[in-house]
Amino acid sequence: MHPADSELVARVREGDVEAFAALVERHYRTCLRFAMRMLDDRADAEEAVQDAFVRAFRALPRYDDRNRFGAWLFRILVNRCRTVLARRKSRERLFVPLDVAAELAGPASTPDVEWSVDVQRALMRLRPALREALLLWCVEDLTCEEIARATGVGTSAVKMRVKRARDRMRELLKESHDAREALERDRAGSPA
Amino acid sequence: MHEKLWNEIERDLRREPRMEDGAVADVMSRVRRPDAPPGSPVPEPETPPPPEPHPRRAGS
Repeated sequence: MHPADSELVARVREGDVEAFAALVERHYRTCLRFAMRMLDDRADAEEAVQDAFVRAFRALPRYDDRNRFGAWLFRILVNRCRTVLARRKSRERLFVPLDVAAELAGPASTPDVEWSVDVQRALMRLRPALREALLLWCVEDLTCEEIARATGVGTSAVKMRVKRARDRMRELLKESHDAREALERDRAGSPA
Repeated sequence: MHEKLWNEIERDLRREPRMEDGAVADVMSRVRRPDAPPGSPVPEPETPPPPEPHPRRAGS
């Protein structure tokens, strides 16, 4: 049986640095998923995630273990992603979401990759505050209270952001979804 | 219809990325290093930077 996060944190705090590797192993992929979606760039995402872990390690003495370790870690990661976005804004960089979307789609068929590209493109059209709320709530399964702590706003604002983000995503993707469904119907109807 | 569309969006958003070999080792090598890497002061996770202003308000 795997030790709980709280047990690993306690071991790190007692000086067992290597116990931190198990926490990194356990949370790296979800952190990377969030950062890739937020930043739309794998290299920037990897850097933000690595920074977040290093900062979490240094901040462990101040970690309040009444909070979930994963949610606390996301709080640090949200900050790192905001910093990258702010830096990027000043560079006015142009983003092409194809790479992140195609990578996350994995070895999927072409229509699936196209759908993934559309989803990522729609996500990037949301304001960062809506994007982070949507990802933390719908994908990373943080509670409203945890998102409020991670993002520095109240729980009612979190709920509103999630609702707005979902509505906007549906709006942006409806056409693409309808086209995809029509394609599937055609395929099902056509002889093999 | 709304729910079906949303379920497909959520399924796509939940896809997990592959992890690079050595990602954990990279973090651990930085963690074991006693000196702080450049540009990374001690974090204050309890006080995230303020979210960006609302575009309507910021633009007015």
